[in-house]
Amino acid sequence: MTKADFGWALACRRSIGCATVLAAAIGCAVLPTDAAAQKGVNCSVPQDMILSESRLPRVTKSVHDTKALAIAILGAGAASLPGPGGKETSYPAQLEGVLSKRLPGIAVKVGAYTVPRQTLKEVARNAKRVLAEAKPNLVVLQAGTVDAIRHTDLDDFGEELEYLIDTIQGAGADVVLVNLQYNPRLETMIPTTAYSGMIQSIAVEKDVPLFDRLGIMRYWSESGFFDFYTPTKDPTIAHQVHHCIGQALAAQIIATARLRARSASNF
Amino acid sequence: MSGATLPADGAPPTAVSPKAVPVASAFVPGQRDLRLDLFRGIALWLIYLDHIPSNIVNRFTIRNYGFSDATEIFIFISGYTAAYVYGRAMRDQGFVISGARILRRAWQIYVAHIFLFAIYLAEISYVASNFANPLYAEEMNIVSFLSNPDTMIVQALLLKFKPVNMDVLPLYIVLLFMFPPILWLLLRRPTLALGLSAALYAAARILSLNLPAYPGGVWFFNPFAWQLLFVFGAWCALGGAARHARIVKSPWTLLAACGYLLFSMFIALSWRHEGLREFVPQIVQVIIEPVSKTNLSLLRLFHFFAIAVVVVSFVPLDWPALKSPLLRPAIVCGQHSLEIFCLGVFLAFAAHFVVGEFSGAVTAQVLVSINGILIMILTAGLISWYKEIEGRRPKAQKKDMPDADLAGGEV
Repeated sequence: MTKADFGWALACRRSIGCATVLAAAIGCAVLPTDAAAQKGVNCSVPQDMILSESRLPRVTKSVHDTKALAIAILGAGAASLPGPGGKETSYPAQLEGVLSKRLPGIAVKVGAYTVPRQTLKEVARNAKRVLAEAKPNLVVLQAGTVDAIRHTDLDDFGEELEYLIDTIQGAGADVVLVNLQYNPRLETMIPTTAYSGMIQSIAVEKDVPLFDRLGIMRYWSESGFFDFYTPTKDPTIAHQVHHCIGQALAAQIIATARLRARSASNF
Repeated sequence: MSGATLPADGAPPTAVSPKAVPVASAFVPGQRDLRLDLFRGIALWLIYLDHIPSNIVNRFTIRNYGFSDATEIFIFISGYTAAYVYGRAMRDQGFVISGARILRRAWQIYVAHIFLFAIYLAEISYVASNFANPLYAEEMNIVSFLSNPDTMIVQALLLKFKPVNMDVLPLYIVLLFMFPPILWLLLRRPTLALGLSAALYAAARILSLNLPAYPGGVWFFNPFAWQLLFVFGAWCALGGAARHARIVKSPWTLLAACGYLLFSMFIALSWRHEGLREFVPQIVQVIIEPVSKTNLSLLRLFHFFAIAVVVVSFVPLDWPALKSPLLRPAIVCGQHSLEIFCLGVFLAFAAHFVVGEFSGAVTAQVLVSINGILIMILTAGLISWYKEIEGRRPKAQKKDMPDADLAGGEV
């Protein structure tokens, strides 16, 4: 049994709707899709990096009851890529596109509310207003980068993250945490490990799914799918990576919320 | 690790200066405890491996299998050996002279830290002028931000700005700076000194005391919390462990320690392996998470105690393997800890550079890990050789003085 199979078996054992998850998991095991495939990019992700023991009950309920899913991207740092077309090619837009395709008949809307260079504390100040405005069923909460750059006190960072999760859940939405980007060039300059470790700890403590962007991008790098080290001003890799992150995040949301979805390889 | 080597036998000092102060808890350092050198050497290797980013080898270091990591071992042994070396000096030469020696040591470590910072500066300058990628627009802010030398260098000199993986030496500097009065009290009222240290730890935890950092936040290793481990090491060296040897060596203590090590191993593994997490009740996760390294969580502290109990139980002072050539490399590294620690930080930078520039393959990661440790061993051997040839000169020989290498090596 491979590592991926093992993770899958554990998820299945606990699952109520195992058949549904199976469909979703098969999707997430084969992630190369339209645009990425056309560009010759392989960005598959092992199943055990996607599957989570945590659940997204509000997402499940909203999709089943109202046939709608509103997602807000919140958190510290930018979610969009710079330059012309950055917004359309960034992962929030990709996520909306993939979810709309994989969840036919469901009205999916993804709104990005991140502000560049904001720490989590600054995000928390405006969180209630953003939540009232967006009324999401799910908040994708990205954290780590700006706080790591600014060396925010790690314990304060953890408390701020807990507060934000409570605030979001109090507003009636589920949470998926997203950690830092993998960045081999700056690893000795940004204390990535400490902050990603804290995010993981909080995810475990609050029982919310973690989208391990750091681990997934490192896997792509080690597998030779992407070169994150060589300097480049060409935005192609950035676009491809955001496309792949959109795919993987969609797969995780579908699997974690136990949604019936079309396979990723079918479009 | 064990105070059994340092009996509180009240033996008279060999050369008492006029300013020498009689102490309540006299002690005489016995033979050199090679276990200290061995475990500090291993801790230095582990710190080096942990400091190489994205290195497959550091998935096998002790931090992955429990709450504490090599930092606790390093700080405890540093406290132990500082008391071993400077405790005797304070008894024989008085507070002023021994205090001055401790402060000189702190200065040497400060210089070493600034030297490492210069290397870091070179690296960040290289990255700033050579790296660009639209994917990392946000992260590249750090490079432009940190490459403001006017503020960055001043903040580094003030020990407020500390690059990644360069937090241990500033902690060590502050601990040594605080050490003379602590040592003075440890020699007279060891229990009171340890109690005050624990009270400071508690105050730091409750009142969130820490030193400010730059560009924001606080020190990654809170000196007000971590001092407890350093003082505890010193307390053990000055006879504390010997006085409580019965408790330390009790089979029940060993059993509890083993149980705690297994528990923490399971929890630590569950952080990385989703499948194991379902066996950890949510209430346990809520209670123990997050395990603060900054403030030396009690979970980490007890994990280190458990390791120490197991080590003391299974590795006696006269363990024959301590003399074997197989363990010699780690022992030699532990005997020159300041130099080897600094070298390790530099090598971790270099290893990261090599892996990134030339090959990120697993083989390359393993190779740079092994080569780095080999370079550390060779350098430690070279330092020993230098000391040996210098020691042959009659004037250079120090009489009746505990080897300062134990406190990290006199520079």
